[in-house]
Amino acid sequence: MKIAGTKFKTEELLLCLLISIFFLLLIIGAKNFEPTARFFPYVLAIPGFVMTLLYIMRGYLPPKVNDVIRGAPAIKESKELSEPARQLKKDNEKRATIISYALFIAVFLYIVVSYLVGFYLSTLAFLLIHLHFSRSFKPKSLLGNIVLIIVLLGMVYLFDTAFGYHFDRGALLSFP
Amino acid sequence: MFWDTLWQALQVVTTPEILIWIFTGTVCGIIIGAIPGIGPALGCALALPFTVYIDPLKALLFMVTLYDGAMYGGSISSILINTPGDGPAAASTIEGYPMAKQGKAISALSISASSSTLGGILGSIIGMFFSVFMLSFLMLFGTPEYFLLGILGIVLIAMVSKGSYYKAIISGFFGLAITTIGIAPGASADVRYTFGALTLYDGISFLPVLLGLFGVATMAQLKGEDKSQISDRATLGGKRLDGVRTTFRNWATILKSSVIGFLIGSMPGTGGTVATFVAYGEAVRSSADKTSFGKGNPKGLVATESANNAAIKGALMPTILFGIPGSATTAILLAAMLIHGLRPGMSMFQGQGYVITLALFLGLIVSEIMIIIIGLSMVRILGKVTTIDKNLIIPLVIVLSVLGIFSLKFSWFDLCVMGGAGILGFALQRFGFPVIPAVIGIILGKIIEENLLRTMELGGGSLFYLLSKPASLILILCTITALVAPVLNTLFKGKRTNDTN
Repeated sequence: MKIAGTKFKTEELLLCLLISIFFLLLIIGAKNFEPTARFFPYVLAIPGFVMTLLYIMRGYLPPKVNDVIRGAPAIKESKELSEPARQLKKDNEKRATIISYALFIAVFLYIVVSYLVGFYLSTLAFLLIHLHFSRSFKPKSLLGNIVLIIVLLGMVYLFDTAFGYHFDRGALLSFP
Repeated sequence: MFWDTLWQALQVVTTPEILIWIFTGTVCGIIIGAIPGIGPALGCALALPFTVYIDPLKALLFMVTLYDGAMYGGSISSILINTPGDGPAAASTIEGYPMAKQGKAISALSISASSSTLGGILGSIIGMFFSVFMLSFLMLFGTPEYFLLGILGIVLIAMVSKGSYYKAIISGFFGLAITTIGIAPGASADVRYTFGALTLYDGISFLPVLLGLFGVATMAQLKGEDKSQISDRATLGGKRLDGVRTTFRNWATILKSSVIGFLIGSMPGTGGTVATFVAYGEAVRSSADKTSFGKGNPKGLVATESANNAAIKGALMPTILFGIPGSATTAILLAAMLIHGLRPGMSMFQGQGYVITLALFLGLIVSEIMIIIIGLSMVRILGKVTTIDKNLIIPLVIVLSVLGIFSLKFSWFDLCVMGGAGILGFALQRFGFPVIPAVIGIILGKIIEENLLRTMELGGGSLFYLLSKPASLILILCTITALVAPVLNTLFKGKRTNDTN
């Protein structure tokens, strides 16, 4: 996506919009506070909002100011690569991003399943699914997998007993 | 007074219970440091929730020795597989890896262990020596100065962060802004941005955010990388004794590199990475035979390793003195201090606080001794740690993060914050927004706001009070210089380029 001649990835634009909306909400919400309570949010949110907007709209600014805002590019375009190599690199990057986001989804699912059935079952399921999808179920790494499962279930037990009993909440830790 | 406090600190550190904590911290640190992709910051972030319910001294000693061990551990993967576990270990690859390729891996690892130990011990001694003068120095600082120091810390970190300075400033603002959620400090006690949710009254706790940014985000990055096994290691050849002898033969380099490491490490933002490269550069400069550097010259390795571990002690100084962390790891150590009710500043240099400060340095000396013992006796086993499959590390870190955060308050909301912070951290890093200014903002936000409000009270509602004291004025000038310098630099660089064209 291009804004004033500056190319943005959709994710980057979404991130900047999210940050600017956050700052904007702080500015709007601060109106109702006492003067001392709203001073700090204003001091942070107003410049923060302006800076984020300037970052998105930097294409409209003079080139020198644009240089200051842009700094070193986060993802460098490799001009020396041939077209197929560049395409391959792009595909690999895309694949890596998808895998990374899939891990976030797995983490959220792990939290939700823990809420529903407790940590023992959810941890076991998370481990088995992760190891399955990462193709780690090979005879060579079987011992490592077993050790990992035992160690982590042992950690859940430790939390459930030592830490859980400490707060009289052991049952909640395992089965909410 | 110093010797009495030092004696008290020594008695505390040499109790069996404390020694066990130091040993555990050091061993965990070495293992964590040796695994590429984890490093001291993530190690300390993972350990933080587990230390909340133990007493402050044990918790802090565990954390700093873990940091110390991880700095040494980072050199193992640098030497064996040319993959530094963290930034400061990167310089060790220059000489360490060629040595390993020449079949001297064990000698290189022995140099690393012995130089780290000597550099670390010297750094601790320098740290304790400096601490004697700190109380009178801190007398110059009051509420306005602490407010300004917090701001200066974030600006300095932004200045030296990788990527765009502008984005780093946005990141710092974002981190600070998150701390405005919850009950406002000061007399008004307004409830801000909670949308009626009781869980937000205390604000967003920084622990889930830290583990999200360091733990979950780092694991997501690691997951996206191509290689399944992190790397293959070099063949372990060479002799331990050769390495130790080489270290002692280069005693002048150790002395020089330790001082460089301590001084550069104590500058906020620079940390160990710059210290190790400067120490390496100095070793090359002062050497008669410069051509052998980069091809496995042990002197270079001695310099980087001793500077590396001395830098930790330097980095502790601004953290304990002013609450300005110099790196991600010291930011987490600062978080640990705050969780345990220890406020950086004068309280850490008088009474029981000074005992804790000196105990930290003494604990680090003990940790260094443990590093040389473990490092020399378990070279081969430690070498195997570098080849652990990342598919085993990722679930381990995630499950420990989830359990650690949940056990703090039994809060599902905190777990969601952790996941959210993970996605945000990943996206920020992906698009060149440095995460460390945000982290420091989240940790320092409340302190900065409290000091700002108190300064305004002292000035009768005006900020001109900041201009009435020389120390504040100097800090304001430093902050403005740090803010403007990178901008001017970019503008003038552009002008120079145009002129050349």
